[in-house]
This record gives sequence, structure tokens and C-alpha cells, in this order.
Amino acid sequence: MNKKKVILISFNWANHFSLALGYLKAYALKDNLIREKADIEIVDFDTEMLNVQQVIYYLSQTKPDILGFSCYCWNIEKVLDTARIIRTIHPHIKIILGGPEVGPIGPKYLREHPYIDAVIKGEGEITFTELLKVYLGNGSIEETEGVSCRINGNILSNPDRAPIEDLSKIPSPYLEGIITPRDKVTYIETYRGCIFRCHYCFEGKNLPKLRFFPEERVRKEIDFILSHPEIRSFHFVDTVFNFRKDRLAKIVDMISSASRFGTELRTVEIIVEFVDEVTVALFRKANVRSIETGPQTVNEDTLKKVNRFYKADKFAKGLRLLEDNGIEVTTDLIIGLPGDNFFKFVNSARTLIDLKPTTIVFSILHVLPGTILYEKSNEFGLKFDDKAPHLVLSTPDFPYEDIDKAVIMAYSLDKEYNIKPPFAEV
Amino acid sequence: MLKYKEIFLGNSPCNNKCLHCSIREKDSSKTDLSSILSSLKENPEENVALYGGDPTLRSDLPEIIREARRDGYKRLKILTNGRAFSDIQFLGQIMKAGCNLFEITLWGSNPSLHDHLTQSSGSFRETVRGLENLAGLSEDRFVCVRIPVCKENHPDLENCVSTALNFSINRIILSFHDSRLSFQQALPHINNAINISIFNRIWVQTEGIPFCIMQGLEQHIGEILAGLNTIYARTFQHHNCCIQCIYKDLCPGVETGYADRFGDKEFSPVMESKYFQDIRTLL
Repeated sequence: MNKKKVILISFNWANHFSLALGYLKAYALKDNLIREKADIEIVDFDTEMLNVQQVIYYLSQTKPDILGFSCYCWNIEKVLDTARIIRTIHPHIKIILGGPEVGPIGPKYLREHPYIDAVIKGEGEITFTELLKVYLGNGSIEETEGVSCRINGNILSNPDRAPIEDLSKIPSPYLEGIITPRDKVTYIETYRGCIFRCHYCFEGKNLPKLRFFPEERVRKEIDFILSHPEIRSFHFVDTVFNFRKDRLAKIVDMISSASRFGTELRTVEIIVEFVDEVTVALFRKANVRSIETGPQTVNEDTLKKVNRFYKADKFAKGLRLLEDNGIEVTTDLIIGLPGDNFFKFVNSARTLIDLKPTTIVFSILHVLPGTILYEKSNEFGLKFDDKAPHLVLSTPDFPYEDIDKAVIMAYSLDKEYNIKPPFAEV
Repeated sequence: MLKYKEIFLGNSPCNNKCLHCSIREKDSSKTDLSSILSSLKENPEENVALYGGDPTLRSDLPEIIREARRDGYKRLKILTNGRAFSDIQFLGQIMKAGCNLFEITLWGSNPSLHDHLTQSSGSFRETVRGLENLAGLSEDRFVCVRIPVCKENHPDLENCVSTALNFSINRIILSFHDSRLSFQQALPHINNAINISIFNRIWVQTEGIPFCIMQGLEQHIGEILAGLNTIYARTFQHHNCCIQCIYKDLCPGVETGYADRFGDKEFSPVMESKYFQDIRTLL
């Protein structure tokens, strides 16, 4: 019997690959029926290098039966273009979407895009496996939790599926040979959830409880990745890498024991306020070269409105400790948060400039589906573009013209502040 | 918003003889190479701005830049008329030495106006060629164009901004510069110039214009964004009506001599502003 061809697609930036799709495949292959009846292929397309026509050509050659797309605000347009065209050419192909851009508003996507068959809400591993089994002839879509779908022209939104309590049930895509580590774009996830509840963020609201991958599995992943001499740097995707010092020390020990080629750890997300001399020593031991952090704004009223943690003194002290110990700090500011205005944003920028981090990243607020700001946008008086990437358009304190000017000013400031020295003869 | 340590490289020579040159006159006796290198080493900061005269006319400029890099300065900016950068090889030398931030003064959108104000025939062609060369670089660089606003060039401001926007620049400064010109005459052109720049997605800010005149355009007031410190010789004064203004302690006022010429009818004290507290925090 011919196996069904399943292709999981992600459009990524800068040569990255999708860890999420690796998880989906790793979990699905635990199932006997799926192993018997389906071949699952993961395809990572570089959204800068490849256009939709090239992707369609590839799919026309490989002739999948089921297509799954990993959807974020930055790639949804390409996903929809690809799905629409391929469905027109090959009407038999089932189209499944998942990811934070579509999950929270699955029925909306199904209503507006008739070529989509199903949208997965929340964590996808179990739901995708169940849905695949339905398409392979086992089970009923109406009874599959965590799915929004179209049945006889009607849109159905099934009950949510609870987050996966025991993460040990998800096999490691690295250790299973599903994902091959590559330099600069290899990520490890040691836990899911977030200790914070920032209103602009998906993670804290939807996955509030911290759930951990088994330590032994994390150790094996670290060892496996650091055994590749060509991997010069890697990352963690944990929401707050340094949220507990004892846990950080354990992971640092794992890295330190596994390190044999001087692999660097780059751009881990941390809370700078938690950094002290001990943390810095641990970071150095783990060869952490750069970290990324907030504060997104320094305006107290705004911080309160968006439920963001920030302690000015500790932030300044932690940042200086890191920089003085050779660990590059990237600080982030968001333009357009409720409570901010043009001059409050300028104050945030000036505050960070005075702290002299290596890099300041300016971004405009994305009012993302599934976040408190999205769901309570009326309460906050937020206007935003309904179309991804859902950029904020105005707030009661920050009219559109001022947001636009703040973005233009930030672009100029970004160029001036973040400029790197030219090749100097020193 | 970034603070630069300012290093004066001497009043002369300058290949422009600008009618309205307002660089602060400074003691040129300490502008020999060793004095400058010593100045660089005193209280080093992250950023340094080199100005003159015109720094590009010093033969030891690459050495000064290299030394500043060795001293640990992260950002080196040259304030210049840009004429020397019409020589692409010289620009390459400066970049290679370690400088990639530039502030270039443009007086007009055409040779007759620019050259008249610089009193230097051929200066427009060279400055524009310098901007072209900067725009053509593949290396990362930051270019700010400073447009001094004066009686002679204010009707040309829109064209001048449009000219500057041709060269992939990163910022424009409109510096009000002439007490012979009234704000009433200049403001429509400044307003248009701001709109043209913002329409083209390039940040623009002003200098030397009182806050009350800039109501509705407060976001562009350079003194709020960058502070009151400047390398340019300016003396300001407040008027009687300023006493009532909420910005009286924050706004530098108008250049001395302006009121003698135009009176104070243009100035109306700002009694309230939703931005006042936030602006006060910044100043």
C-alpha cells in the first residue's frame, strides 16, 4: 500500500529551521498507524531566498497528500499564498495550519480562507498526531481536541486541548535524527511556559505553567549538539534562561562538561534584574557571549498596564556586570505600548543609551492573536492592523502619526547607535 | 540623543568661507596632533565628534581617527562640509582608519545658492559628490545632513531636503541660523521640509527654534531629543511673554538680536501641553 505523503513546511528567516516541526514529526512517529501509513517530511524554506513559485514547484514535484504549515505573524502571507495556489492546482491536498498566528483565531482563518481544512490550537504535538490519524482513516475530526475545522461547509471549533503536562513524552528531534544541528541556528528547549505574564506576549498567557523536559534528555541534547565541531554557536529558546540560579547552574554544568570545541552560547533571553556576580560567573563558564533582554519600556505606567517586570536599579547593575565581563547585551524597546507616547518612548531610548548596552533593538508593537492586548484591545483602546503582523496603529496616548514618527526616529537612532566600526587599521 | 565628546581640530584651514559660519571660535593653539591625542585620552567616552574648521583638511586626520579607535571610542563622527569626500580614495582612507559617522552641511539645492552661501565656487558640486560617494559605500555608515536655515535659503528648504534625500542619508537637521529671518517667514518652509522628510521615512529635527513656535511639531525639536549642548556659537534670550510659558525653564529662547529686529509678536506663551511633563523629564 502506498503511504500518504505528509509535508510540514516552515518559512523561516536567516537560514533558521523549525524546532516546532521537528517536535511534531518526532511525536507523530511514535504512533504505529502513522509509521505504517505515512511518510513525514519537513521542509524549511528561507523566506528571503525563495519565492512562492519555487515552493509550489517543489510541492508539485513531491505531490504531498497532506500539507502542514507552521504559522507566525512574519510568514503567514507566504503560507496563505502557497496554500491557496497548491490547493487550486491539487484540490485533493489537505491543508493544516498551526502556530501562534493562527491557533488562537482558527475559525477566523477558516472563514476567510476556504482552502484551509484545519487549524491546530495551542501545543501541536498531540493534536497534530490525532488529526493525522483522522486523515489516515482512524478517528473523527469532530472529537479531536484542539482543532478548528470545516465540516460540510460549517466551521467547527473543538474544545481546547490542555498543554502537555509531561514533556518527556515528546521525543527529541535532535536525538531521533529528525533535525540536524547547524551552526548559529540550533536551539535547545529545556522548559515550556513563562514565569511572567506580559500582556503583549503569547507565551505567559497561554502556557503559564512551567513544564520541564527531563534533565537527562537536555543533557543528551547539549552533548549531541556540542559534539559537532562545526557548530560554533547555539541558543536556548527558553523564555527566561536565568529564572532560577540552581537550575541555571545545572545547565551550565551540562554545557561545560560537553564543551570540547569552545562552542559559544549566543542570544539567550534573560531577565537582567536577576543577574549578579554568580550568574555572570556561570554565564562565563557556559561561554555565553551575548544575551537579549527587555525592558521594552521604562515608563512605570506603561509597565503596569502591560504587566511587565522591570526594576531600574537592578537592570542597570545587571547590564553593567554583563558588559564589563565581556557578555554583549542586546536590549529591546517596543514602540506603541499602551501608556507610552512619543516622548515617553524617547525617554526609554535615552535611558538605555545611557546604560550603554552593546545593542538596542527597536520594534513596533505587534498585537498578536492570543495575547491579552489582542483579546482586550477595546479595553486598552488599541487600534491595530487586523492583518499580520498586526502592527499597532494607535493607542489613546500614542496617535498614529506619533507612532509613525517614533518608528522613523528609532530607525535613525538604530543606525547611529548600533553601527559597528568599519574595518579599522588599529 | 547620543552624547559625543567634542574635539576641536582647529579653526583653519577651511575650504568654505560660509557667510553664516557659526562654529564656536576656539583657541587653536592646542590643535597640534599631540594635544589632540591627549584630549582624546582625557576622560574617554563611547563617542567622539571631530570638528573644525574642516577636519578633513588635516593631513593627520586618519592618524587621529586610528588613535581614537585605539583609545576605545566606539563611534567616531566627523562634522564636515563633505567636499573632501568627493575623492573616493580619501573617503576610503577615513573609513579604513575607523570613522563611519558623518554630519555634512548643505546650504542649498543648487550650485548658485550653495556656493553663494559658502563663498566657494564649486563647493556644491564637491559636497554632492561626497554625499554620492557616501551613498555608494557598501560598508555600514551613518550620514546626517545639516541644513542651516537662513534668509537666503529658506525658500529653498523643500528643495534642499529633497536633494539630501537622494543620498541614502539617515537624518536631517534643520538648524535655524539667522536672526535676519523671521520665524513667520521660515516656518511654512520648515513645516514642508519636515513633511517631505517624514514622507520619505527619514528622521528630521530642528535646532534654534523656540518651543512655542514648534507647537504641533514638538516631536522634531532637537533640543528636546539631543539636549541644549551644541558646537555652534549661540546666544539666546527670553522675552517678557516667556515668563508665562510652561516651557520657560526648558526652552533656550530665541537668538539674541532677534527681538530687536522682529519684536515678540510671533511668540505666544504655551499655557498647557499634554506632553509637558514628559518633555520636562527629558530636559
